[in-house]
Amino acid sequence: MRPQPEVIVCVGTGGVGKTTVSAAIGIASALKGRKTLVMTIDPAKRLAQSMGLKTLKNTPTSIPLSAFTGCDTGMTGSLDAMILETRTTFNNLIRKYAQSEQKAEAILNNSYYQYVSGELAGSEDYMAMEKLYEIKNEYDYDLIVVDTPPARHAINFLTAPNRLTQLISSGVLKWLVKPSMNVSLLGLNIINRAPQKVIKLLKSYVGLEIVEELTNFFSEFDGLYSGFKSRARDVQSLLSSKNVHFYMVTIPTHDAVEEAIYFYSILKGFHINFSGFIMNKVHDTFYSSDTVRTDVNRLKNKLEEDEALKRVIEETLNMDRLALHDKKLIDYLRTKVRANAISYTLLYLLMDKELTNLCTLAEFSKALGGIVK
Amino acid sequence: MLEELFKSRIIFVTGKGGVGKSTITTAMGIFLKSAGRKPLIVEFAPDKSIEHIFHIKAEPYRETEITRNLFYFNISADEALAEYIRRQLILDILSKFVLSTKFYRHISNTAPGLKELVAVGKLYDLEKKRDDNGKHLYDPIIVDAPQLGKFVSFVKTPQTVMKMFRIGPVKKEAEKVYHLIDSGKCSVAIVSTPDEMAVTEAVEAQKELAEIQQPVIRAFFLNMTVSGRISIMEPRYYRQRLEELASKQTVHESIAHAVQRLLNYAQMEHRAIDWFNSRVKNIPVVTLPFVETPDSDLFIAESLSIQLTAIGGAAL
Repeated sequence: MRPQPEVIVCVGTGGVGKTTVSAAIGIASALKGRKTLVMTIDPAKRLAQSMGLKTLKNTPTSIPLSAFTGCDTGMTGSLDAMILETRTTFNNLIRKYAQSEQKAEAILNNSYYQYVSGELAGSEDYMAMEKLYEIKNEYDYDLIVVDTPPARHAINFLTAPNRLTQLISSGVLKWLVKPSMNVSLLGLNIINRAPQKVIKLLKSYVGLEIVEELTNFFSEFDGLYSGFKSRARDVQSLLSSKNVHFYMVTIPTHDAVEEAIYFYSILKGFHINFSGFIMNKVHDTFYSSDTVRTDVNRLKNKLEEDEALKRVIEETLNMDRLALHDKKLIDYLRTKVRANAISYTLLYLLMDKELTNLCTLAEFSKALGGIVK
Repeated sequence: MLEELFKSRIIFVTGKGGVGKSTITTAMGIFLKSAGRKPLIVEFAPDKSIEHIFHIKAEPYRETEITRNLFYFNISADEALAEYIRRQLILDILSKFVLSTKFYRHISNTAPGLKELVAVGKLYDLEKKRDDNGKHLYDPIIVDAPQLGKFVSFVKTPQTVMKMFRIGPVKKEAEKVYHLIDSGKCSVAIVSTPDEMAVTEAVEAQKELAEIQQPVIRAFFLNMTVSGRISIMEPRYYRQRLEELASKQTVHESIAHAVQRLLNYAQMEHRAIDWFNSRVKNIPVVTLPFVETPDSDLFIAESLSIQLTAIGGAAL
């Protein structure tokens, strides 16, 4: 048996730079000589472009070394990237578990399915995990970095497999398909006695087509159900495997840090490896000490007649203050999570660099080197 | 330059995550209120960014008057659906019964788009509200909308639902909301930061929204810009000036280094703004300064509302 690949999952709310951080971790790993894959969900495809590719596909694509021209990275490993497409992944899963090609087509063409596979809350999270499971078993990587979809609460990601199977197996929908089933779980005994009437009511309410599409979907899906459920269980157990490390990406703002603390408190209830926080977009200090700051201020105050120079120095002091503010928030996060045995890392990444080509991304990734073995 | 935007009945504020969408939404609200109008700020649960900015705890599913003539509503999709069911099932006892069943909970989680539809539909109700004199109760409604990646599917919710439900009250509800969005009374304001990744996304959003025609983008906001506040001159100029002035070599070196970094940053920003301006035609681009008081988001929003007064005040 080949060794299990390491997996790093980056979670976090929207706007914290998860995609960039994931790519940087991938590069750091490739620089250390490891065979690496980055799975991203970046819809803007900006990252694909920065990696020298026009677009990314739903399967791993190798990042050409030529993408690194202009900087000597000394990369000894390899770097692949792919984009997660929820619908394609879902479609493949249906094809895999359907008893026949015909049955698969019936589901894929069902308008309710088309809605569920693309729009349903949680399907995006689940399909990211599903794809990870598939890639992990079919390819031979040392490290897979997963960039998760942005979530209001990062926790959605962990509960996604369960939520999706619960939804699909929900009694009421099965009951619509097979009215003879025991429906005491519905808590609606009047309907228990007259299911046909309910269906009739629904038809007059929302239209014949939608009810038919719904019932067709669930009767077709019934055959897939057991395969789907055991798969979801496997995917869920993958999350708690010891090779899978979770990092929470956050930024030094009050809301983001509070969310990170909340997430951390919830995580204790899950059997997963929480490996640390990655604090992104941290402002660097502009001056090295308070003595220097005092001197700079003194000098600035002498500059009454030179407005341009005065403004620019004032601005450097403003930026410097932001760095001190960030430091306070990082210390606050540190005190809030200190009491726990789980180790964590805080990384200071420079904000004032454009991360749109591989060379700067490689430089950025140096700060993340500690994460990758 | 923002006349068209502020004439709208509903303004959807969107943008990439982390660009200051909620702050700009709040700034618009404060500005319009001080211009004598009665704006209502709306956000969708579970988000509570606006509540955090104002340090308030709003009443659940109800308008809250934050300060005189500035209102807030947090739309929860669950509440909106329950309200919809209550309205459909006129008998109160019956609706109470339905809402308490597992049957309802399952349906509400699986019915395609229903929750999203009634959440957007709540905007329709709020837009229709009139005072005793027949005037709009809220003018305008400013929506802290979902972020860019999800915005198009958000405003397309009524169309999606109309495609699925071909008859019945759900279809009627969808049509009603669709007509409001399609009426020309709604606008989009896109917020971005002046960095390459964010402006690229904003430009791409322009293409995507052009396909659905309504609502129309009526303004771009480039938030958190630093470069506008300093004169971009050759670093050599600043260096020379410092050498003439500095009494201590260490200070001179520190400042020169800091100034150099700031100028690099400002130049990068300039490039992104120029690139962006070259790709946006006939839509106003408003540049808003970076406000460095990170401890108070309300202070930032208030400062930005003053900026809006300076550029948009004449229009009102």
